[in-house]
Amino acid sequence: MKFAFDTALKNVKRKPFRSCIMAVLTLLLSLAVFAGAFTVMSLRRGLSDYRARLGADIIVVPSSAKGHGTVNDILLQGITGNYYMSGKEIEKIRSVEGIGEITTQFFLTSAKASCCSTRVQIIGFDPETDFSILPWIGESYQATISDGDIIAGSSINVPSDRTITFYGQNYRVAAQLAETGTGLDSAVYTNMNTIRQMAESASNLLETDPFRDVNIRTAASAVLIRVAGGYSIEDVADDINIHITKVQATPAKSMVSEISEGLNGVSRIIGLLVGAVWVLALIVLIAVYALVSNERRKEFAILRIMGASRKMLFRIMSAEAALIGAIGAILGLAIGLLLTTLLSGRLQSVLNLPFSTPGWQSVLGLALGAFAVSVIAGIVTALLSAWRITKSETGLLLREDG
Amino acid sequence: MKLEAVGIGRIFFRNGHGTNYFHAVNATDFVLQPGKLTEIVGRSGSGKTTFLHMLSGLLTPSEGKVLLDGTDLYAMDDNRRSLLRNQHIGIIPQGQTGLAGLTVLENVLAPAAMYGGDPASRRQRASELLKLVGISDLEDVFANELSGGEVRRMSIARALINDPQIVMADEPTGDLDDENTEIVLQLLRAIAHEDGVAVLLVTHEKEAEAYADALYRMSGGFLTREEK
Repeated sequence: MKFAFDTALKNVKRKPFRSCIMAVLTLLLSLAVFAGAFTVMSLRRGLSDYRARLGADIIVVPSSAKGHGTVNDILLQGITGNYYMSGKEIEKIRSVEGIGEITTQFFLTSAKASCCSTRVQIIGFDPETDFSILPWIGESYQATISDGDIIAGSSINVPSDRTITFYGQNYRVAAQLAETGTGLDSAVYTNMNTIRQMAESASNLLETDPFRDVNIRTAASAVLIRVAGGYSIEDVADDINIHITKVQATPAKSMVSEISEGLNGVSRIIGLLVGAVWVLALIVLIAVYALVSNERRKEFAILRIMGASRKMLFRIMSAEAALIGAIGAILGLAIGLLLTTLLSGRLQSVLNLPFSTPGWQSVLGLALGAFAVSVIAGIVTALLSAWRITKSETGLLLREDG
Repeated sequence: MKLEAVGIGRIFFRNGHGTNYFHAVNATDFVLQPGKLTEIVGRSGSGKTTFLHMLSGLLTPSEGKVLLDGTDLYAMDDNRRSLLRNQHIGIIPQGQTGLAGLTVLENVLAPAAMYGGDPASRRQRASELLKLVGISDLEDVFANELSGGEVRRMSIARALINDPQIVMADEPTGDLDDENTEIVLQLLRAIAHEDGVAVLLVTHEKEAEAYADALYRMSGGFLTREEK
């Protein structure tokens, strides 16, 4: 065993060109597996987080929201939208049969604030009734959100005095949330009293008052509903759509399934791309082994003459492929980690799907898996080449080589 | 250790398969004697190398058996036959047969390191052998940087590293000048006479006949004994 490893190590070191080509091919294999699986895993995790954060069975928005940023857009990409339904409509929704829990959210887009290079979506929610935002914010912030306090998403540039100005009023940043990989990272959260105060300031300051026809004290942008036990989500949503004008109720699972379909499509494409890279890299790897097989035939014949068994030759080839594969796979994983870290934000906006980076344990597991798969592929290819050479008797190899 | 061939012969197919074949070696009996330099002479393509490969366990005969102390070499599995070759048969092959990625010393040590053993004693034995073949100053040189004569001498040292009881040399003087030819032939004869090793020398060179204790001629795949 030691002889096989020592010989393999010498071969790797003293055939640098050959070793480099093999290592680059293994690098491609591990990079493709890691980056592909990382992206798919992030998307699936994103969808799962999204589903959990949505927390509602039905989302109701005003009909006027059509064409503006919907809840989906806000959650996924931070696309801002200002649309409101009146308190009267909200009360009608409350009275629909089959409603278990209900909460409202108020969306407001900031004017260019001192904090942010772009406009920021401010989301107001009612901590008393909320089941959508608090469970998630609670992972980073457990205290009560007092009036005048805001919670900043991870992408918000919080000044050192922890104060952000919106529409001429200062607000204290009570906490900054952990990164989610979604549009929620570039949003700001606060309670209903505070956001209504912001809306009033906006109404006074802006030339064109966006709240001209809205009662800020009672209006809301979205109503989130959990259906009571024994009721069908679709039936309750239909009831709302039939009986209440000017609002649009959508079952959350149809929003999720729309995203899920998109995600499946993207997963398929990524799978195909990874598969294509694999097939190409494997073909090149096999071709490289075939190209160097003449050189190896002679080497193998000499080793056989010295008394090496077929098993020993396989060990040498396996050790060599494992060494080269390990180097290539580690480099591939390093590049993969770097690329996915740098490009995950960009990927999210390009794919327009929820993207949530997995935890370090999952990334480690993924890296180990990609490492193992790439190294094993290299070993199997090397063993195939060794098998092709050694299936001929040594006497015949020597005869063919003259 | 007695090496005996009982009716061994070998056919080769001209296109690798089918009915178009020829006898490279016809059924032959042969015994390799310990302590003697046995020589098989013959023209290129007469079947000498094929015969040597069959005797050394590198090429399965189409017919007959090769017996090593009464045990059929080709009835053994590959692991056992390889170990046996490593421990008891030193082979000096034809042509440039150094492992290019290894130095002269590493080449010579390789057969001894394959199945373990004491590194210090095999290192000492390798130094002795390199001195014996006259290339001790080249031990750190890579095999692909050696001349033809130096490669041959390295191959001899490598074949002797495990102190085999049988040594087989295939055209060991093929590309050597007169001086190197004499060095190699004297060395092989010394191994046979002084260490009691059974040495088989296969060559097409007439000058080598003077060193042989027993002489055979291979012609058209037929092996015949010649009187000295």
